[in-house]
Parts: sequence; structure tokens; C-alpha cells
Amino acid sequence: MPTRTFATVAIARDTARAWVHPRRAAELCAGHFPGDPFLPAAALVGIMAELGAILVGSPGRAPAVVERALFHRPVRPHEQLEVIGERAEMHTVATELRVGSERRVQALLRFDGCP
Amino acid sequence: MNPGDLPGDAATLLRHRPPALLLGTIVRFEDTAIVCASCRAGRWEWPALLEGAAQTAGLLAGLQPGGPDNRAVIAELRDVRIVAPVHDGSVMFHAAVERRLAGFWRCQTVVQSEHGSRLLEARVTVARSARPSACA
Repeated sequence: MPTRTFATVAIARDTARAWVHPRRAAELCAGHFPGDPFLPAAALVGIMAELGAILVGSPGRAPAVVERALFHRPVRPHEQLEVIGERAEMHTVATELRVGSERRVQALLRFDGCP
Repeated sequence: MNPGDLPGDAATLLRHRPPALLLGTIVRFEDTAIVCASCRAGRWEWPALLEGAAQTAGLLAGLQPGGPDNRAVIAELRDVRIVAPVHDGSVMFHAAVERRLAGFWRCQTVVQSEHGSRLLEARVTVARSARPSACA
């Protein structure tokens, strides 16, 4: 199930796994920063929320709240980005963004009023 | 930095460049608080509103005594409340320093429409770029 952001999305019960299009990652780095590009924090959370919305059955929906997002290391546009989401409660999704086996970002998202 | 010494344009203090640069004029700066106008109008998706809040927090942290330079990064986002997932028009970004801890500056940020309605709020923690385990 490819999307504008994800080359592939696989969903199994309460978990989802997706790979980010390299082209999309490069787009999000435009101007951030010339000569030293890495993805903006908000763009990373946006990517993770896209997967979260798919997981809660409301693709395209924005989360009501990002409880917390932790950024462990910069994410470069040339890196292969994997996003993993797990539905923790009815409206809450715990997500991670990884490069290989390394966790770069963690975010806890809350979607209100989802099915 | 004294308010009178500030350039009017946030771009001179940030290393973001279009289209990533979201801040325009520095409307107000008072020690631990700042207000910036967006550099564009048009359509805003919530990640862009959040990124503008992060840029404002980074700018404010850099203006604090001993604050980071323009290579500051975002270490954490917390309590991000997305009131309006999409907005059309100009935007005002507000930030105030809430706490400082050993190389980290936590700011409370609020994003408002040009008419004053609240679009998004977030706590943004800014870190120096030298910290190897921070990001964006």
C-alpha cells in the first residue's frame, strides 16, 4: 500500500511498518540546511503521524496530541528510513523511526475520536 | 542581546533557507519571550505550524545569555496540541523560555492565526548542536 510518503506499508493487527520514499525525505530537507541537510523534527513527527493515522483506521487524519517526541540523532535524507507503529490503546499509537537497527526518533501520538 | 540590537528579520539569525524558513519579522522580543510573524501566508499543514514553533524556540534559545548558536537542534517535543490541523493565512509564532537545564532550553510555544485564534501549542526543548544524540 504505497502512499506519497511511504514506499511500502505493512499492517498486522495492532502494528504497522513502513519505509519512507527517499524522494519524499529529500523534499522535506529542502532548505534545512544547505550543505548540512537533515530532516526537520516536525517533519519527522509528521511522517510518524501519517503511519499512526493509517494504523487507527483514519488515513490522513492529524493526531490531536503529540504527547512526546524524542530525537536521538539527526536523520539524513540519504538514509533508509523505517517507521514502526504500535497501537497502544484505543486512540494512542507509539511510533519509532529507525535507520537500520538504530532508533532515531520515538513519538507517542493520540488520535481523538477514531473508529 | 538587547531588543534594540535585534535585526528585524529572523532569517539573519537562522540557518534555515526557503522553503524551510518559516519565520519573517521579529515582532517583539523581551528577554525570555519572543513573537515572530510568518514569512508567508497560504496553506499551513500542522507539521509546518509545528516546525515554525520549533524555529521560534530555537531563535529564542539562541538569544538567551549563553544560548546555542544557529546550529541548535530540537531534542524533544512535548504536549503538542494540534487545534487546527490546517490553516489558510498568515501565522504568528509565540515562544517563552520555561526552563533551562545544562545546555537545554525548554520553551512553551503557541501558534496563532493573524486574527488571534489558537492553532497549535507545544513545549519545545532546544539543545546545542554539539550534543551527539539530538536531532532536527
